[in-house]
Amino acid sequence: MVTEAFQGAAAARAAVLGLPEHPRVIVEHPLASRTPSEVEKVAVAAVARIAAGLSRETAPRADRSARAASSSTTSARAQRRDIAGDFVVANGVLEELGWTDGLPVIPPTEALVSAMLSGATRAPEEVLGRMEPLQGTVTVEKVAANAVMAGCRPEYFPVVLASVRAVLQPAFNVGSTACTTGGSAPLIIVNGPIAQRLGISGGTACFGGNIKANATIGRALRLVMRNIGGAKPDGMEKSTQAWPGKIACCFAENEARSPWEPFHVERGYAADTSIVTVVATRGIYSVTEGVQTSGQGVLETLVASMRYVGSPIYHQMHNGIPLIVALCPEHAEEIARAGFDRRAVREFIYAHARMPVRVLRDRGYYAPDAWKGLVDESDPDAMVPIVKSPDRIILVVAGGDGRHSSWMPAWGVCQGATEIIRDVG
Amino acid sequence: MNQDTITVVNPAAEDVTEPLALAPRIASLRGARVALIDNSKHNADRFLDVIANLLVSDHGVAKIERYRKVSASVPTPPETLRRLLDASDAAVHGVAD
Repeated sequence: MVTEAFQGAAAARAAVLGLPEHPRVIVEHPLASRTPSEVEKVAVAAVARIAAGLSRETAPRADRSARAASSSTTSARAQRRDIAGDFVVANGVLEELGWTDGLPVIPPTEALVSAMLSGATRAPEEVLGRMEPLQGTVTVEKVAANAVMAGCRPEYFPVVLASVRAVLQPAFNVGSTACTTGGSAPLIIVNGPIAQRLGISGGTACFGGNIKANATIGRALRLVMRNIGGAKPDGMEKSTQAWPGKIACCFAENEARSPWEPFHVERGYAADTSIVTVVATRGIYSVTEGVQTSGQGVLETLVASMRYVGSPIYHQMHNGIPLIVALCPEHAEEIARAGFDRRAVREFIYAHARMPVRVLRDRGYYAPDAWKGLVDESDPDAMVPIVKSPDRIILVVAGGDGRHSSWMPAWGVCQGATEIIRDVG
Repeated sequence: MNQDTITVVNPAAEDVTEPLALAPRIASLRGARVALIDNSKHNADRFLDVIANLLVSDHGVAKIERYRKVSASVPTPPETLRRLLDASDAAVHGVAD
């Protein structure tokens, strides 16, 4: 059962599961916005084809196979491909092959890939996992090829590898976050001394590109998801709009200007350990507060901005997904001066970023019983918190001078994932 | 490599999936047990209510097993699939919005 708009995704998924001829009944798209009588009409028109797909002999080989779909690469090392032409021609060929994000890339020559590999201590043929949705085998060499294309320097490679390993954690749910209509993009937060060493910025304009390490590390992860995971807009990727974080989104915590211990120390890592935290996020919601200076006043404006009917995090919070809050240094300083430590900030947000059931019901991604056990839905005045518990808030200090902070809700089922940055070559 | 040729390392997945044989279609729906997996998107339940009723009334299906996914974004858990496999002769799932 497939609506028209999902035919490509359904075909790609069936193929990767080893069932390219799986019978599919295509119906009009969309179903979600139709009236009850329209839905019934589509269903009535489809039922005979569904029955036929189940009961007619459609399989050329009728033996029921007990084996699982097997998949193999021809070799542990990536294939090489000769391109006749210069840098510009090579870029055109790579684009035609579907291997770029539309921006120019550095062609991943053997010499450049080899140099990238020297930035970390892992063997090129090592397999890090299989990446959903198309279950591509993620080898260190292929990650290196994508990092070259993104423009990374070899010393960035351990950060790229850690980001890829984070995304491969089951809790990240990369298959769904890469394909969803919700348009989520992986946002990488770097903590620890490696950020300063590599120039991964947590300061001025840290979300906005023009910083080589931020732009290229974020882009490398996206190219891996595209080329190895197989989430491309003409196939499995179904973002309604997406947002530019799908090109690249990586920044460091501005630990030097934080009034508190860094995020990774709060989470129990040693101060001299470096980590990445990757979360599939729906976008960056900006909050300006240039008048209030009491700390308390800044927090009030922040939580007011979070009472946002169209942000589906309230309808998805039961999945335990995180919320990133990135305070600019000036806001953070004022909040700390008002007596808030990290825990108190998170608890304030949890207590006040709430909306009543009556406002959220039958809007956004409302689904009956989703809040079961968390909120009494029979009470229209019951308040739904933006996250399941205060520990689901990832609080970081980021940005330069000025009075603009932001928050980024996780998407759907992505729990976020953290990895220690190892393998520094 | 001469000056006009660039040799690149393939950055994309090279996995090849061996096709599986499809399970044989059942001879007839008459008396069969059919599982319907609801992807939990808005209106999926309404759509499948109609399908379920018609499979029973017009096609002689004996029993319908329903399962509603926790989220459209996550696969049906393997243990649920096994349970549906044991409890039914055929299944229908959806990729849709």
